[in-house]
Amino acid sequence: MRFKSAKWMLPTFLVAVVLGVLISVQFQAQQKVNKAREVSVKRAEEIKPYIQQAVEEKERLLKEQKEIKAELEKYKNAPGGASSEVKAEIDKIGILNGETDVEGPGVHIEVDDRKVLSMLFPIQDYLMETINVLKYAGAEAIEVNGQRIGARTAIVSSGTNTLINGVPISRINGTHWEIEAIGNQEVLKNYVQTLCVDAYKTQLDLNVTITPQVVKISSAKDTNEFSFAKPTN
Amino acid sequence: MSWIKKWTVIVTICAFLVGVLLMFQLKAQAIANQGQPKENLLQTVMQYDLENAQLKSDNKKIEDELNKYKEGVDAALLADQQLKRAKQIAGLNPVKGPGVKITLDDSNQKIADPQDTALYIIHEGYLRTIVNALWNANAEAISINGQRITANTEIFCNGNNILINREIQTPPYTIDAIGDPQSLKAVNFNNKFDFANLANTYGIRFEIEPAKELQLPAGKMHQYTNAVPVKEGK
Repeated sequence: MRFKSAKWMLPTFLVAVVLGVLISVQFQAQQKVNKAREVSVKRAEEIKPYIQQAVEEKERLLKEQKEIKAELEKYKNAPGGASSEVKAEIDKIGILNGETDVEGPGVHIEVDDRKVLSMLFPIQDYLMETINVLKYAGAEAIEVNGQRIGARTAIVSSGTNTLINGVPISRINGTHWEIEAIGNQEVLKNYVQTLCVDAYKTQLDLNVTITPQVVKISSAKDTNEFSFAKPTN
Repeated sequence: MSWIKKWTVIVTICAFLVGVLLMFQLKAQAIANQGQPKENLLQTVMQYDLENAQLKSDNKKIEDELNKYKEGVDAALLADQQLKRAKQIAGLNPVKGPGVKITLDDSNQKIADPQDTALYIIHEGYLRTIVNALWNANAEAISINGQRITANTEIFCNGNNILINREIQTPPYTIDAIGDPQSLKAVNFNNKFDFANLANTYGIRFEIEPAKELQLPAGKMHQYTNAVPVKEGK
């Protein structure tokens, strides 16, 4: 094909130049993205062994804790120790203050908020509201993504993170929010369904599932220091 | 070749090139998006580090307790000490100490627009938000209208009132928090609700003042019928 008239040459030339520039810019951008990706993948590879090490350390510490607690129990239950009434009271209070691992019938709630814009709906508010509803429904112990909810638990956002008990909750690979609560299964499920799921259904694209099951909730990490509050009796 | 045919060729070539560019752009975007989970990896590292540090601290405390038993310290005395500490953490002891006193009350102003009625009254969400912010600022004990906040305390809307520990509370709401008065007074409570604006525009009362000594009552023990302690070694 050949243009007989020179009038087509200028627009064609201009279009060719613009496209050429665009291709060049795109090519450079692509190279930068590829490089950034390489760095990102490399960093992730560097972090993975550290995470593995941390996971193993956590398992070791939990095993160690189990062993120490088992030995401690033997001493506590030895003849001549504390009365059974005192031991029973410590156990009961341990449920309230979160120092005791507990298990019982309850609900497992999964909240998937990945389709919800965090700017429009802070998940911290939803978690706090769900916890409040569970308490009102008589939940005896509650845990969110492995963090026991105690009296002094704060749920706050820090940048893109959510801190529960001061611990950033990781949501790697799209992990859902997982709430465990012990209590009357039917009551817990009905309250959460009505007040935390149905109430938001028309406003938010939240995916919430509530499964009645026996749940085990681990004890709170001991961060309760008292420097100002003194007992009065 | 007519001018229409010439343009058809040019437009086809341009469309092809734009298509190629678009494809590269989408690919680059997809790659850029793949970079996101790496941030979560750092978050995971932080989470494990903090959890492991807490576990180490816990293990040390349990081991210290075990050593006391091994050293022959009176088991009954140790149990008594443990009971006292357990009560304090649970909020079952009355406590005193410095902190802040926060007062919230419904507005006395005449409601200008009936649609804004909700802006003239104190809601349970305000109290929950303030309590959460106080815990985050290391408050050690909190009560609202004399109701001590424990792990089982709900702050729940009950029509015109608010239920706390299943007890009906009416305004004004007084929040007493024991902790470092300076830290507690410096908390920014306006993150979620703009209390300053609600006070200025609609006349709700929101006051915070440091207190040299607050007296907080003991919390209530919950009746546990479902949760059973899991004992190690059994």
